[in-house]
Amino acid sequence: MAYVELKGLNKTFAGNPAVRDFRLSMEKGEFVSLLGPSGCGKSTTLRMVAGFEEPDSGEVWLGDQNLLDLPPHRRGMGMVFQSYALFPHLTAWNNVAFGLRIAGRPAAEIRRRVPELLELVGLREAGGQYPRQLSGGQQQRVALARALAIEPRVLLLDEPLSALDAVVRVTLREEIRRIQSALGITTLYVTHDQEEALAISDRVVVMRDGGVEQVGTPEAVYAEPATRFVATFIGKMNQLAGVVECAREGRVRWGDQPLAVSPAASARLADGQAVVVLVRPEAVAVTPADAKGPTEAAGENRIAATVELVTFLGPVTRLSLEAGGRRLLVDMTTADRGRFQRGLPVRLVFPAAACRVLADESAGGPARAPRAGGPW
Amino acid sequence: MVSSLRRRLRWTAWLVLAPFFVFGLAFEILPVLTLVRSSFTADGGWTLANFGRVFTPVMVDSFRNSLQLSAITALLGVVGGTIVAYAIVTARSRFVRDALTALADVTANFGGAPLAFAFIITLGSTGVVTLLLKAVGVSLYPSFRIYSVSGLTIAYVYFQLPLMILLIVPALLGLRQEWREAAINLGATRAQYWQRVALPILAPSLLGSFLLLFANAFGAYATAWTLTGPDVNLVTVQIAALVRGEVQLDPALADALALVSLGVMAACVVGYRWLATRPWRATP
Repeated sequence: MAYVELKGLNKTFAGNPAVRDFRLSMEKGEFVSLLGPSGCGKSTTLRMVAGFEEPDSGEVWLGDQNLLDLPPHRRGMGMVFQSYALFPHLTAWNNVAFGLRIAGRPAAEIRRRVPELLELVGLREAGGQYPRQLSGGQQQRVALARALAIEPRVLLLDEPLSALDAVVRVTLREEIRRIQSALGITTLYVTHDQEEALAISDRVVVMRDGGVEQVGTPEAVYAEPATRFVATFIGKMNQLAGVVECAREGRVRWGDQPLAVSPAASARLADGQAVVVLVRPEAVAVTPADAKGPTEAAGENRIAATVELVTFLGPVTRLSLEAGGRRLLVDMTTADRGRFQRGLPVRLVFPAAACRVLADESAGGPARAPRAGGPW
Repeated sequence: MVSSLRRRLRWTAWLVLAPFFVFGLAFEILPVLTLVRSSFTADGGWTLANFGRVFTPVMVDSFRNSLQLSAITALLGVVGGTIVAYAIVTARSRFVRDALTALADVTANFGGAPLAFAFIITLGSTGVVTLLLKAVGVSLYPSFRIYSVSGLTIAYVYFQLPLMILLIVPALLGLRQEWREAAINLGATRAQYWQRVALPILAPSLLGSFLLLFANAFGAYATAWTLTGPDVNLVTVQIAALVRGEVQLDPALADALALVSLGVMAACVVGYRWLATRPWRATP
């Protein structure tokens, strides 16, 4: 039996569906992220779990208890807000002690527990300071300690890092994961930052327009996106819109270019069906067109292209390329950047196994002519 | 070229501000300086004798009455105004919010003789409400009189309460929803949230507003005089009587009383300013 179970949650605001038939099971100690663009319903889902929003229908179960029967202050959820929500008239110490005092814990226990929690979040010395005297990162640490003080059954974090700068965000997300792992607390985390979600989660729930697009481990969601939305929302993806030539043999035509895909990837498709072949930029090898390379192997795709733009991204360099009137992206390590420059003719090589094939639902029919697919 | 243009602009700015300074000097600074000089002089020399006469039983009584009336009406205004303001800011209908705020704006500025007259024709001995109540068997008089301290208290609350609404609405809007949700999430009930979070955060605004209402009531004269005449012994009524000279003409004592009153008002304003800058004060 799952520790947390969200069953068919629905929520509508002024006639507009915010969350549609949301279902999720979480194991005890699991770290699950709700990931999606603004307005996709992830915060509303979290707030329904916390009890701040009442679902139109559906159930929220924690163990064998239906939480919808309980008011928010009796659900035992620890929540961390995007804006920290620290009480401005209380010091960091008193903010952390707030929930313990409300629970009527003995003063001796509070005096012992609060420094422990401040130590846990690395702020032992900041207990006497007011929120206004702390940086954003420090305030969020205090907010985390405050949420953990009541020993919640589930920790809820609503975009806790989005108000912080990039460096602090990375440091703090690692801290959150470290503390979560150390305490083994079941955690539901809301973010619109796909890198953040992939970095710290056991599982990711990708949401769009109030519904769930895909649930899976970060690796699975990244490598095997279930929909075009997931493919494009998480990382960069080349989308090659084409038509299945022979599903059994894993052959797709992209414009004039034949593409080899894994037969397993195209097994469920029909010949003549409009599809989108998805290839990650880092799965494509690029060499200058005049360079001698190994002869073409079976199950390998080779495409002639021209470099349009070279973008330095630190350890990675991104090439924007033009191939037969279509645009593609290739990521390479900056160390291999070499002599690639605008206008250089190149050869792109990627294996059939690197291709994921999805039915092109926007094409409207199996025999539709392939459209010029772009990487964006 | 640029610096000469800047200089010219600066002079123009001072020129535009000149009427304000002249007005401030003529109607704020000079009267206060005159008041100070007059209250410290007698028979052409400097003296503290005028302040000695401030502490006669009648004058001390007027201060006691004024302080009591101001404190009670300020307290009633703070409590009532905060409750009504909370109802306004949490009202779902924008029309209701706007209408009530506009009403508060109007009534907060409706004072003096017209307000006193309004109360006389409604709650006076032959007032509309008094007669209507009498018709249904409820006799307000003689146990209640609008021409008394209790009547004055009702009249003062009439303008204190809406003023409080206008003062506290911004602070209530500054109470962040996340604070309430965080408190509830940590196990607090609604009452505990108000007791431990909202009221302490609002405290500087509430205390500051109390001081402003106190000063507002302490300085009120026209309503009190029109409604109760000399029946209720207030500082402002005493000052006016001493200046008019109906019973005793003593402008120097009136100035000394006014200067002490000015001190009370100044303390209120300084206290309000100090509280208004408290860092945890809720701001929208």
